[in-house]
Amino acid sequence: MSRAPTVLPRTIRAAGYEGRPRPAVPFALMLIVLVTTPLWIKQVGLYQYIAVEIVIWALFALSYNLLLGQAGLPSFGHGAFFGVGAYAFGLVLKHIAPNLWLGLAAALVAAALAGGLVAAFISHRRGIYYALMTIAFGQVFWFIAIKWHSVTGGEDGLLGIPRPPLDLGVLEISLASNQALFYFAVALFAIVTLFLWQLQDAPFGRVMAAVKGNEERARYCGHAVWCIKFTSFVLSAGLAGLAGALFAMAQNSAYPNVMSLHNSGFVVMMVLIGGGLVSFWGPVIGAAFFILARDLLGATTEAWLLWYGLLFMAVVLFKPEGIVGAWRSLRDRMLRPVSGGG
Amino acid sequence: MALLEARQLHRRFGRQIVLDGVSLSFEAGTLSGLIGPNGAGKTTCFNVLTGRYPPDRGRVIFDGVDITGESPGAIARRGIARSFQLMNLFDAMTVVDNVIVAMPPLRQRAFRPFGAVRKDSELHARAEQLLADVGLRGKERAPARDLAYGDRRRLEIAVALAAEPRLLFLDEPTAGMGAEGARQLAALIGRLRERVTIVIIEHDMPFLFALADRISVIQWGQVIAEGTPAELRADPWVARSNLGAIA
Repeated sequence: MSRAPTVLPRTIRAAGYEGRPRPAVPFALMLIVLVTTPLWIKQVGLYQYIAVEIVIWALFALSYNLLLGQAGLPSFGHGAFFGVGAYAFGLVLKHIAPNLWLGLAAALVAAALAGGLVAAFISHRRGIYYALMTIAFGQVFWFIAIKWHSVTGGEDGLLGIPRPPLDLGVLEISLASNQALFYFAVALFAIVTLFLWQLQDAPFGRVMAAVKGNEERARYCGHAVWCIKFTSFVLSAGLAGLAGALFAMAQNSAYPNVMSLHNSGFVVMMVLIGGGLVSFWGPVIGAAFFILARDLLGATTEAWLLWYGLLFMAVVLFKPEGIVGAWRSLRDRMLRPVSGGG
Repeated sequence: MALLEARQLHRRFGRQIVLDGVSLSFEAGTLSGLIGPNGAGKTTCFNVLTGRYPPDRGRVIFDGVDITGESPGAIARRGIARSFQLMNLFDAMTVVDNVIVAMPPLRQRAFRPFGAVRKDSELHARAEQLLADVGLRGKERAPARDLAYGDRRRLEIAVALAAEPRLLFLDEPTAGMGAEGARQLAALIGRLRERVTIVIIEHDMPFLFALADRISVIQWGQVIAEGTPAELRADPWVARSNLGAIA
């Protein structure tokens, strides 16, 4: 890799943990934009449901980037865990109890278990072998979803999944409207985001970074590399399942398409275009960009994925650091003459 | 009793015999050297002793416990650390983070998902002390990839030391260093020998002969001579193989 010389000062500083910017500013900015959407989203020609989808996909993309960006493990079948979460949520609500918390917990646990099953087979692998195995396992889950009619409803999927009310003990809030569901999704998203942010500097995050940076050296430092890779995968899959549960709520259904290779590819494209490899917030930006592009381009052309795919290729070829990377280069270029440094 | 003992290690790669009955013994508190021509089996010997691959036959005994065939991680947790001939660092991390990630207090809570490591002042104080010991004071916040060659060598040693080993293997620590760098490194190793048992592979004979308590000569996968530097200088084998001539 000969990219080191082009690294900008800002990127170098990001290598350390001291002096890293507090999450307060980007986090607050993101929350303000999200929470106020009901006030302006119709004025800009969009609709509330799209904000629900953006938050769900942003949650999925962040949990995916825990694996790709922080642990350096390429999973190309992550849609499977999103889907397992969606199905688990639907099955619990339809067959066991119409309880929101139970459904969400089931989605998290089921996806984490599915992740554990996959991780048990691949955690001794690296690179291309790791990636190929995740694709193969992703396809297995997708196939099961299609063929296991009696449980999954086959190609039609699970229909009529209810949106149970949010039970907070003292009060109960209906999530039937997209706006109410949106606020609930934002709250869940905010909690997961804070957890993932602080995880970067927690012991587990540090060791994940070590495994990403140099697996062999991490092993010679005495780290249980296999267990770290396993745990990263399980955690990432579980949180993806949580996003899947929200998706089942949003769509009132769970269907095989959410586990398809397509969906697994979408999340990779979101994370890379957004800049997940260089920034914690990249996946969030990438998810918003993807969903907006889908709706805005999709409104004018059937072949929107073609254009998006070309854009993806351009990003990978010319700006692998994605939108966040492009923004940083731009900012550094504009700031340099003023500060006189660098 | 020796801290580490290798008994009759055999290892072959395909049809090539790399270790052919190597027996070595390193006493606690000593500094030992391994010398021999390129391809003699020195690095393979390190790799077998630190668990990268198991020996085909033979045993490795560390502090009275048979550790033959254990994984590198398990052996590291027992207190054996190593540096690498081709440097092997966490390039994307800062110098101080390279050291911190190798420290036992972090390793013991590796699975904790909460708690900011950057606010752990005790861990940082220890890491910074260690970096000062190896001569990297003032470079704690630099990314490892930006270090000059000699400083990378020092960091390589600091990362190995961070694990608080009882036994430290150094694989060609002076490789690629100039005379001044080698002199500083000798001073550093001279200080380290007070607190840890050290085994060094080295091609720089004056460097090693000045430091080592005992030296083993490996050739064709066998130990062909052993002794103190003075004994080896007088050894006909060593004289003939032209290794001792430089010392």
